[in-house]
Amino acid sequence: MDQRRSPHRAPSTISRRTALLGLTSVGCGAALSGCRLAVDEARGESHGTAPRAGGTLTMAVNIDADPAAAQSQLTSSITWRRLVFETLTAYDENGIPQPQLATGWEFSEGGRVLTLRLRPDVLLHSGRAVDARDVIYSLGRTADPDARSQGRSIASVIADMTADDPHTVRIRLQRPASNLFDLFELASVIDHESANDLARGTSVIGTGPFTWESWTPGDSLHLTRNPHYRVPGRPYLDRIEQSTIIDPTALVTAIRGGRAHVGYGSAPLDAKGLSADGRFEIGLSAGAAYSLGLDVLAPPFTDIRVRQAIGYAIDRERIRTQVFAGYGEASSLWWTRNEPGWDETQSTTYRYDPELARSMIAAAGATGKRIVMDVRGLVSVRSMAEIVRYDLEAVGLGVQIQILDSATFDQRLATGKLNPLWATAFGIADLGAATLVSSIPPFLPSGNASHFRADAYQAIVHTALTAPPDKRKASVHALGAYLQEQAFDHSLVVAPLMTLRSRRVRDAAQTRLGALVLDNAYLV
Amino acid sequence: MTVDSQAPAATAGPTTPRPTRHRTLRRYLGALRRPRGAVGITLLGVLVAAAVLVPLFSSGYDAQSMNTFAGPSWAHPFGTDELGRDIAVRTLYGLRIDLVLLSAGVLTAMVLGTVLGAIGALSRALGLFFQRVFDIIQGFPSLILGMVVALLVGPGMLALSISIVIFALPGFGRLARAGLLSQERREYVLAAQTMGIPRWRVLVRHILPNTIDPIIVHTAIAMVIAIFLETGLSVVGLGIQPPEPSLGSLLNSGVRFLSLAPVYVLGPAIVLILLALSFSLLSDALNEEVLRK
Amino acid sequence: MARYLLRRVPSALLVLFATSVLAFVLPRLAPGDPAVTIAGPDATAAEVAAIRADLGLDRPMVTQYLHWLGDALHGNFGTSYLTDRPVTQLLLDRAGSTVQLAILAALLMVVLGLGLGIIAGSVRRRSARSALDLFSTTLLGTPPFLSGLLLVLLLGIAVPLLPVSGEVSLFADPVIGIQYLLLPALALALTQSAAIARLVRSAMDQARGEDYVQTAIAKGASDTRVTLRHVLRNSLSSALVTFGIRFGELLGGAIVVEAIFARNGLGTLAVTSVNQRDYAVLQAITLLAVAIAVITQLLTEIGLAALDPRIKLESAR
Repeated sequence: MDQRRSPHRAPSTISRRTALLGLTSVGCGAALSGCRLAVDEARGESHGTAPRAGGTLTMAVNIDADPAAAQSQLTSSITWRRLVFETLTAYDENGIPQPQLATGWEFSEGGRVLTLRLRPDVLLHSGRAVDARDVIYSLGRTADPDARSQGRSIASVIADMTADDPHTVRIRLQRPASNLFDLFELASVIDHESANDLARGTSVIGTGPFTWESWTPGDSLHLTRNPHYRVPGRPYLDRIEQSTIIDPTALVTAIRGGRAHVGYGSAPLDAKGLSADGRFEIGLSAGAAYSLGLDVLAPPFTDIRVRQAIGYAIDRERIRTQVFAGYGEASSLWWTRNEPGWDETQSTTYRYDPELARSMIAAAGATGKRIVMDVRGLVSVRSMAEIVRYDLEAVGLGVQIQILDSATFDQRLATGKLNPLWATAFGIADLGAATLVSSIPPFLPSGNASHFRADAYQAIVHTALTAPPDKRKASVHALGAYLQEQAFDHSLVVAPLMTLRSRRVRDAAQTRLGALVLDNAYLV
Repeated sequence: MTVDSQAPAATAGPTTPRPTRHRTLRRYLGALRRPRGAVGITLLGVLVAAAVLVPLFSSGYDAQSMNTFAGPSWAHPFGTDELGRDIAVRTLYGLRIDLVLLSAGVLTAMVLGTVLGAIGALSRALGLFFQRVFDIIQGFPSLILGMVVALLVGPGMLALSISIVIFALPGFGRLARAGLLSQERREYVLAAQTMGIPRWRVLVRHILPNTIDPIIVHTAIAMVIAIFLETGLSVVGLGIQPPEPSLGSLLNSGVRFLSLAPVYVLGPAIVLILLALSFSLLSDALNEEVLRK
Repeated sequence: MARYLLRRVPSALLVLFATSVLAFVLPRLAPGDPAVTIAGPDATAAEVAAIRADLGLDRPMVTQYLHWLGDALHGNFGTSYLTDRPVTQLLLDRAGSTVQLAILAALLMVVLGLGLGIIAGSVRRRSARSALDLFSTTLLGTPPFLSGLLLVLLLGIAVPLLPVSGEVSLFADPVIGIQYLLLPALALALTQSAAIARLVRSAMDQARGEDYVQTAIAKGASDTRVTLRHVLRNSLSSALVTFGIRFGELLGGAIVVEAIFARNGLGTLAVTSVNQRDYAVLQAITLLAVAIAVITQLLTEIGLAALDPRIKLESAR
């Protein structure tokens, strides 16, 4: 941190009397005597643009770091994944893969075999040079369910991997896969020798610009500069300190107060206060879908008309404005515009029409029915649930809110034991529609919390998963239409993940998926 | 958070045996005529009246609108919240819910505590046992106790009520026992005993009315303890759940919007301070007038 | 003294024993199965059973308790189910923050409590007395949460003098650290200090009525001298007792205060543990909080008995 010392008066000039009388306002006492003030340190100066070596960057994240998530795009790893690790290739801003640990690659046998050449001179944090064994281990790990990597379904296409020499890897695929570089984007290259201790966080070893120094679960993560980083003179920063601040207000306060330079995962409403403040900038990256789940076996949702009526009953735009401060998209589709099969008309299939909803519910004879709604205990979901309750009462359904902590909610979601209606959010990280539906619990065709099972559904999901690029749009469209017609889940708002950043941090970047990159970052 | 875990003058029972009802009432009224008592009862009266009457001049605590974070105005004296609801109205509804919750909890604790205290006075063994139970309860910082209860029954109204009853119990129990024991050796009790009146009957008919004063006076301070518990648990998210407001949960949301809408916290904060203050003042006045005379 | 200890210590031990039983049993009665939580959403029944056996959750309660207590007495509170780290380690990691907060708060509590009490006890003007009384009554009825909030509004937002959230360890940077610590410590101390102030004031009032003070006044001793030499000296013991009782509550209040000021101390750890049902951690915190409260109180009482044998200790509670 920039420790500016005021030149004019020495701290020792506080008289004893001031010290005693000013006990309730040591801040004032300190100001009088020219001591450093925590509130001043927070601000920093905005001039001076030459990169400067040294300094500690502090981060605040609303969820604890989880070393096991080294190869997944989650808030628990988004901040440090690309700091501790590197990947084989990285997309540039145009979505073209660029060399990182791999210097070159070529496809052969009609796209069924990929040969990768590795950089020979890269050292792991343990001091050993990275080689083909680490790459093979790392790619293999993404297929393991415990790794919770979004690349898992792509990794399952890999038939086998061989090392021709320590710096060449040959990957044989079951069928050509055009999204292989998506997998590379996620597959951080991990030291295979220490990988058993990865999940426990005792040795997290990669090749990135920073080394994993210490991790206090639930509290903080410390990274230090990797002096042997492959890019000479980088990184500029000496140290990264990340602390866990679950409370959304506290998170924003930490940024505003300068306690943290970078903040991840604050609720939009809390972040909005910072948008007018020139000292900070707000970044948005792929976030979460906020949705309502319905149990199709529980009355009144056994009647498809009631399920569809819920879609018309809710004022999505009001949720977007009041809960998400105008960020995000009020949409009845669960995926974002980055999915090629995204469709404008489908995103507004369920427009706000309380009259229609009321008559549909009346027609189904459900008017006056009382429902318990389980709500995941996250701030934004809770606010959203209050609007949902209000809107549903307005169309003739009685709703009682029951808030569950995330652990309980997940457990009941997995075992299908939630009440007939639930409000939740799930990270989508810009996943394609087919990947989303086949990997996220509320939608699994094989069995989901809505108890919705149909052969037609399985078939449609299978078609979307295996569709060649030219049929992708049509298959995703069919999937969306089917989900909306069956209405066992209603997407309400697709909201971005908020990144708050002090302008004292210069040249911070992010990967295409949103992982933080600090190779060239410095503090002013 | 105990405000005053030391039972006010535990052994200072009334000195005159069985004053007439008329005189008892006069002493309570006297307490209300003292400056502290008068201010306390007026404050409480205004708050209770506002809480009772709020449905007459509002359309419920969940009247949402598009008018997000409106500033203070005549229509909305404390502005509106994130969902466009009037904060003043929600504060009064919160007060309403709190008053019901707190008085129900404290009155239950009073009755239960008095019964346990009485049993403890009758049976030495049970008395010692209850004393130890009370020791254990008071050994727990109140919030930790509340958290354990919330873990058991789930956060919400029930958890709050149970925590309040449990935590207010020792005060009443000790007072009742101490008061009863101090009366045991008095002449009128001994006289009644020699006349062959059963012990429990002497207790209920003669002794209890004489020990009731400290218990009633303690009620006021128990209310303050309960207010502390409610707000404390609400802050850590284990209090009353939305959309129902309580003073604690309103403050909790207010903290969240401190920079967007600084007036948000003011309404519930002022009402909460006034509520606690009214009970503290009443407690002071009653202590001085009813117990010391 | 020895007789007193003989009577008091078993009772304190009983409280500790009962607390340990409660701390052990209560979380186990709560809904939800930690084995299921750890196993994750897609675990099979066999996996859950394996985890349960691994954690010893399938053994009889008494065995589990004795095992737990034996370990606890050696400073081993088991392993957190969620983070897979020793609970003792987790507690130690967080304890620093809470200890700094508690020490400064306790200090402020005593200083402010004594100061306010002495002023209220020495001021003779009726109006000033009532004003001070009202002030301490209001403080007494203001939960630390609320005083913290008002302090934040005043010193953090209206006049941004002090940082309103976060922390820097005093050992890492004392000058900045104290500024982060001040608001939360003050919030925590205010309510409790009002309680001390009240006791000091009423003790002083009482002492003033005693014969020896009257004698001193009659002998023409100055007002200040009477206050300092006679009245105050004999009133401090009651302040000491209150300190003992208040300290436990101060720890309880720390839970809320840490939550508002975003400090990562034991209180925050407790809240997270409740939410994630990590009961190995919650047990340890409960036991620790009660143990500290009981022991502080016992120590104050013993200290008091040593200082002033006339004090009737039974009435202290």
